[in-house]
Amino acid sequence: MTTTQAAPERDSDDYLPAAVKETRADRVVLICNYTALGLFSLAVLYPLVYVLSAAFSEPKNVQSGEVWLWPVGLSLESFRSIFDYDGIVRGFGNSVVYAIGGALLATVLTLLAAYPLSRRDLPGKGLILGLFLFTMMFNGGLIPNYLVVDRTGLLDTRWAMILPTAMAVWNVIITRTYFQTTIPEELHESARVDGCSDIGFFWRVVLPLSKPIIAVNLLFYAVAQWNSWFNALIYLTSEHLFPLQLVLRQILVQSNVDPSQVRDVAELLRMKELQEQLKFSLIVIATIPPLLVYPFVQKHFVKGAMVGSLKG
Amino acid sequence: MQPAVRTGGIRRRSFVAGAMGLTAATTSGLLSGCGPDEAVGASPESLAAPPVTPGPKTGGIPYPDGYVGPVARKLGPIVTEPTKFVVVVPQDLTVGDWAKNKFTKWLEQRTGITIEFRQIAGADEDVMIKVNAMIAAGDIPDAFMGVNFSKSQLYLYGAQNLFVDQAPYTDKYAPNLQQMFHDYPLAKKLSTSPDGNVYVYPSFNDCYHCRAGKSRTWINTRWLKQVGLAMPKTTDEFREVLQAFKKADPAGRGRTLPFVGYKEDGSNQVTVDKFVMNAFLYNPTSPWLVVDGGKVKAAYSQDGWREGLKYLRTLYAEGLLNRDAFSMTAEQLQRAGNNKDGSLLGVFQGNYWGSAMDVDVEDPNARWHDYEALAPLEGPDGFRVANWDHYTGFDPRLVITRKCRRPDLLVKWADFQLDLEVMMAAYAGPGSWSFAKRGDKAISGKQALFGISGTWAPDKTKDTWAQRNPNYRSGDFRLSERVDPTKPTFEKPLYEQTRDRYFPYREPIEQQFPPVALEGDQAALDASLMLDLSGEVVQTMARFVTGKADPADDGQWNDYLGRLDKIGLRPYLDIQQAAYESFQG
Amino acid sequence: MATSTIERPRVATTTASKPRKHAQGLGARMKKNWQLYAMLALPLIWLAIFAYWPMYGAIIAFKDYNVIDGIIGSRWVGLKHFERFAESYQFWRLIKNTLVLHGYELLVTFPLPIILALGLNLARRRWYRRSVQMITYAPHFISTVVVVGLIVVLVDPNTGVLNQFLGLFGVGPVEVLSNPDWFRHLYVWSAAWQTMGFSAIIYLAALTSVSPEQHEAAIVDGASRLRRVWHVDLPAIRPVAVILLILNIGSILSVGFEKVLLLQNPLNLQTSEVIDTYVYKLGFVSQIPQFSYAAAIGLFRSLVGLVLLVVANTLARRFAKSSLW
Repeated sequence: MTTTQAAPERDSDDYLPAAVKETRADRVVLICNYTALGLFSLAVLYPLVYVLSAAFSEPKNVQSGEVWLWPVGLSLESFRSIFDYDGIVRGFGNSVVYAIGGALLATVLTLLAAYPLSRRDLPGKGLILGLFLFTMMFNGGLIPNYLVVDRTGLLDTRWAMILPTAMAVWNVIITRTYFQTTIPEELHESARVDGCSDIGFFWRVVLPLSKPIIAVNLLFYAVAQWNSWFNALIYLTSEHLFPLQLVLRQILVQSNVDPSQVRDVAELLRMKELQEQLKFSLIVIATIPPLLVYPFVQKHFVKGAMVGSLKG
Repeated sequence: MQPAVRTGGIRRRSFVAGAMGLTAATTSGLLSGCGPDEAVGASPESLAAPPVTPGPKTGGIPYPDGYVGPVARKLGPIVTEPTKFVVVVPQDLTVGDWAKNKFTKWLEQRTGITIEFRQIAGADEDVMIKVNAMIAAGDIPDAFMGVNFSKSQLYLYGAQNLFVDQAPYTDKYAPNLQQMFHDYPLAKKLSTSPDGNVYVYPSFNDCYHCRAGKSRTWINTRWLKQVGLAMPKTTDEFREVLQAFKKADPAGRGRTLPFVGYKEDGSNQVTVDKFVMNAFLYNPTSPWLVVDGGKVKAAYSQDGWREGLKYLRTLYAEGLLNRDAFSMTAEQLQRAGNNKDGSLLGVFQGNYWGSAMDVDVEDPNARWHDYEALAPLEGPDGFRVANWDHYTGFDPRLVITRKCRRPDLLVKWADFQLDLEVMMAAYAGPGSWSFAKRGDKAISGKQALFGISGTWAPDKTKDTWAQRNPNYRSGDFRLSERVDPTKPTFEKPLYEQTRDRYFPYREPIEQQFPPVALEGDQAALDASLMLDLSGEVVQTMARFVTGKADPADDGQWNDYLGRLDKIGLRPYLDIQQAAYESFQG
Repeated sequence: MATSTIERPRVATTTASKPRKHAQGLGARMKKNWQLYAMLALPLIWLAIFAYWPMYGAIIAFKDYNVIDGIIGSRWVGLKHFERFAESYQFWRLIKNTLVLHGYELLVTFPLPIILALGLNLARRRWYRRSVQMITYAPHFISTVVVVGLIVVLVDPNTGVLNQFLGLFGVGPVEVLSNPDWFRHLYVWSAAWQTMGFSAIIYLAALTSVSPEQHEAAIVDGASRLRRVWHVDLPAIRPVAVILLILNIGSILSVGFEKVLLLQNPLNLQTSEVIDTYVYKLGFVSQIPQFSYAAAIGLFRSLVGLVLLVVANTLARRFAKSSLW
C-alpha cells in the first residue's frame, strides 16, 4: 500500500498510444471543442477587460460611457485613492485572515463529516445524514442565530466570522459523494485485513487520494468567506474587524441613497464622486486574491491522480 | 424583562442611593454612563441637577439681520469626571472609524464625555436588521445615534419602555433644543409620539431646496435658445418645445432625448409621472397619498391621474418621451447626461443637476450650467401645483435606551452639539471652516455667517460626523453660507431657482399627508397593501403610457380601479385616515 | 489491480447496500466503528450549536414576534401569517414566477457546467485548458451591480451591441429590459455566463478519478473520442451531477433577490416579482420589521423545498441509480 503521488501533468495528456491513428471524426470533435471553448472564453473575457479598463481610466470617462473596451485617459487615480481609506487596506487584511482561517477549519470539519457518511457500513448513517440534510432546508432565522453567537461570546470577534459558517452541508454532501465514487470499498476491506484502523485508513489512504476534493473544498470555502459580508454586518461592530466586502458594499450602498432622503446635495455629490472613483478599482483589488489562488487548486485537477495508488 | 421587576430594581437602587446620601453622585472617577446588565432605567440623580442656563453668546459673529438659528455660546465641559457611554452608530465612509475620527476627539476634550462606539455597516435597512437583532438579544447600548428609526418603531419601542422619554430631560437640560422647538414648532410635533412622549432627540434641517426636490425638473436652456422657444408654461407649450427638440435633434444622429424618464435605483419607482402629473392634479409621489378636506385619498385613483396618463401617452406615442422611460437606469441617465459630444438630455426630472451628470463647480462652462429648473406646467384646466415637502427635515438622531443610567448627561451632550461652533466642527471638521467676514455674501444674498474652506477630498473627510449627530440647521443658517465668487457652488442657483419657480406654486400643507406612526398590526397591513398597490400603480402606468393599454378606454380604466379595490385600497386608506387623525390630534 | 481501477467503483446507493447482511448485532457494529463516530463528533457538535440551537426560533412564524417580548414570550397566533401570505394578492403570481424562473435557470445552469468541464477535459493543450479555466472562473467575483450595469449597456435599445447586431438583419430595436419574457432569458443566461466556470470546478475535480487505463482500454476497443466522453468521462461525474441536481431542486423556491431586483422595472414586474424580492421589499417598506411574516414565508418555502427534495431523490434513485440517501 503506497500513498499516491500526483502524476506530473503532461502537456498533451491524451491517452492515445502513438501507434493508434486519430480518426477524422475525432479531429473534428477536437476542433469544434477548441472553437467552442475559445468563443465562450471571449464572451466571458469582455466584462473582465471592461472592469479592468474602467479601473484604469479616468472616472469621468467611465461615467460618460466612453470606456467600453480599452482604458480612456489612462489613470491610476482610483487605485491611489484606495489608500486614503484605512478601512479598505485593513479590510483586505481581515478578509485574507477570514478566508484562510475559515477555509482551513471548514475543510477539516467537512472531511471529518463526509468520510464516515460515505461508509456504507456505518450504523445510524441514515439518521445522521438526515440531521445534516434537515439543516439545509430549515434554519432558525436571523435573530436566533444572532442570539446563539451572542450567547457563545463570539459577538464582535474574528471567530464570529469563521465559526458560524464553518461547515456547509452542501460541501459535506459533495465530498461524501466524491469519497463514495473514488474510494472503492475493496480498498477499505483490504486495509482492514492489513490491520489498518478507520482513522489510519482515512489519514493514510483517503486523504492522499482526495487532493482534488480537498482543493475544491478549500477554494469554495475561501471564496465564500471572501465574498461574504452579511455575517460581518450582523456580528461585527468594530471597524477594525470589518472585511473588505463590507467596505466595498458600504461604498456601493452609501452612494446609492434615495436622493429625497439626503439632507444635502453636497453630501450626495461627495458620495457620487467617491463611488465613481473607487467602484472598479475595488472590484479589481477584490478579485486578485481569488485569481491568484486558483492555479494552486487547478494543479490538482489532473487526470489519473489515482494512478499507482492501488499498487502494492 | 417584566415591568414589576424593573421598578423593583429601581426602588432598591433609589433606596440605596438615598441611604448613601449624595455620595454616589459626588464620588469620583467611578461614575459610568453605562451600568451593569441589571442596571435598568435612569438613576435618580439624573434629574437632580439644576436646569441648564445657556452661557453668554460669543461676540463678534456676523449674524445676518433677523437671523433665526443656532448660535455660538461660551461652553464649559459637561462632566468633570471621565464618563463613558456606549453608543451605536452607522458606519460612514466619510466618518471613517468613529473611534479615531478627529471630531470625536475634539468633542471628547470639550465635553469630558467619552463615547465607546459600536459601528454598524451597510445601508439603512441593513443597520435596522442589526439594530433589531441587538435589541432582541438584549445587547442594548446606552443610545443609538444616527439610526433612522421609523416613527412607528420609536412609538412601539418607546411604549414598551425600551426607549426613554426624553422630555423631562430636554425640558431641563437642553436649552438649544428648546430654542429649536420654539423656532420650528413642527420639529416638536414630529418628534412627539402618539402617546405624547418624546422618544428622540431630533435633528432638524430646514433645507429649502429639498422641499421641492420630489418633482424638480431641469430643462436644457441651450437647446431652448437653439430652437428659439421660451420656457414652456403650459402642457401644450411643453409639447411644442419637446417637438422642436426632436426636430432640431441637437444631440445629433437622432440621439436626442427630448423628455427622459427613468427608473430609480433599488426600487420600481419611475420618474415620468412626477412632474407632468402636477398639471392635472396634485401628485405627492409614492405612496401617492393626498389629504382632501381632511379625507385621505390616493392620487392614482382620481380622474386627474387618468388625464395625466392620457397626456403622457401622447408624448410617448410621438416619440417625445424615451422608449425606455420605465426601464432606463440611473446609470444610463448619467451616461446620456455626460455623453462625450454633448448631453443627450432635453428635460429630465431630478433632485439636482448631479442626478443626470457630473457637477464640476470649478468650470464656469460646465454642462450643468445649461440646465435650469422648469416651473410646474399649467394643465388644460388651468391647474398647476409644485410638490413642496412641508414635513422634511426631521431626523431621529439620538435615541436613549433604558440601559442608560444618566440620560441627562447624554441629553446635555446632544444639546452641546447644537451650538453653532460645535455644529460647524461636526459638519465641516474642526479647523475646516471659519466665520465669515463683514461684507461676505451668502447664498441668500445677505451677509454671510460662515464659510467652509475644505473641499471634500477623501483624505480630508475623516474629521466630520457627516450629519449623523444632532443638528439644528435652520433655514437662515443654511442660506448664510458664504458664496465664494471665484468658486460658486450650485447651492445658490439651486436655492434661487427653487424660490422663484416652485415656491410660488407650492401645495398647501393641509393637502400633504404627514409622516405618521402606526401600531404593530396596522404597520404590517400597511406594508403589504402599500407594496401590492404601488406595484399595480406603476405597472398599469407603464402599460397605459407605452400604449399597451388605453387610459381613454372606460373598460380598461375601470378594470384598473377594480384591481386596486381587490388589492385593498379601501382598508389601506382607512389605516392612513386613522393615523392621520391621530397625528392631527 | 488493473481491473479494479477500470471497473467503475460502485456508486453507493441505498439499494446497493441493502442486500448486505449484517452478521453482527448493532451494538457490536457500532463498537467496531467507534472511530468513525469519533470523527463525526466535531461536525455534529458544530451542527448542534450553530444549526439546531437557533432552530427553535422558527416558531416565530406562528407568533406575533416582537423583539422586546422575545421568541418565547411573544403572542401565539397559529397560522395567521401563513394564511396572510396564501391569501395575499400576489401569492399565486409569486409562486409561479419563482418556480418558472428557477426552473428555467436550473435547466440551463445545470447542464452547461458539465459540458464545459467535459470540454475542458477533452482539450489537449495545457496552456489552452488552463487559460479557459481561469477566464471562465473569474466572472464569479464581479459584483452583481456591475454585472447588471454591463447587461444594461449591452441591451440598450439605442446603443447596445445586441440591437446593433440585430439591426444588421433588419430586426429590432428590441426592448429587452422592458419585456416580461426577455427578463427570464436575460436573468438565466447571464447567470450561466457568470457562474458556468465556477460551477464546472466541481466536475473537474470529479473527472480526476478517471484513470488513463479506462481510456486506453476504450481506445483498444476502438471507441471514438465522443464515445469515450460518453462512456468513460460522463459516468465519472454522474453521481456528483445527480446529487447537485437534487439539492438544487430542493431550493427551487429561493432565487436570491439582488439581481432580480436590479433587473426589475414596472414593465417586467409581472414576471420578475419572485418570493425573495417580495420579502425584501416588504421589509423595505415596513415601518416595523415583519419578522414573523418573513419567517412564515421562509418556512413555507422550506416545506415545499423538502417535499420536492424527497420527490427528486426518489426519482433519482429509481432512474439515475444514485441518490442522496
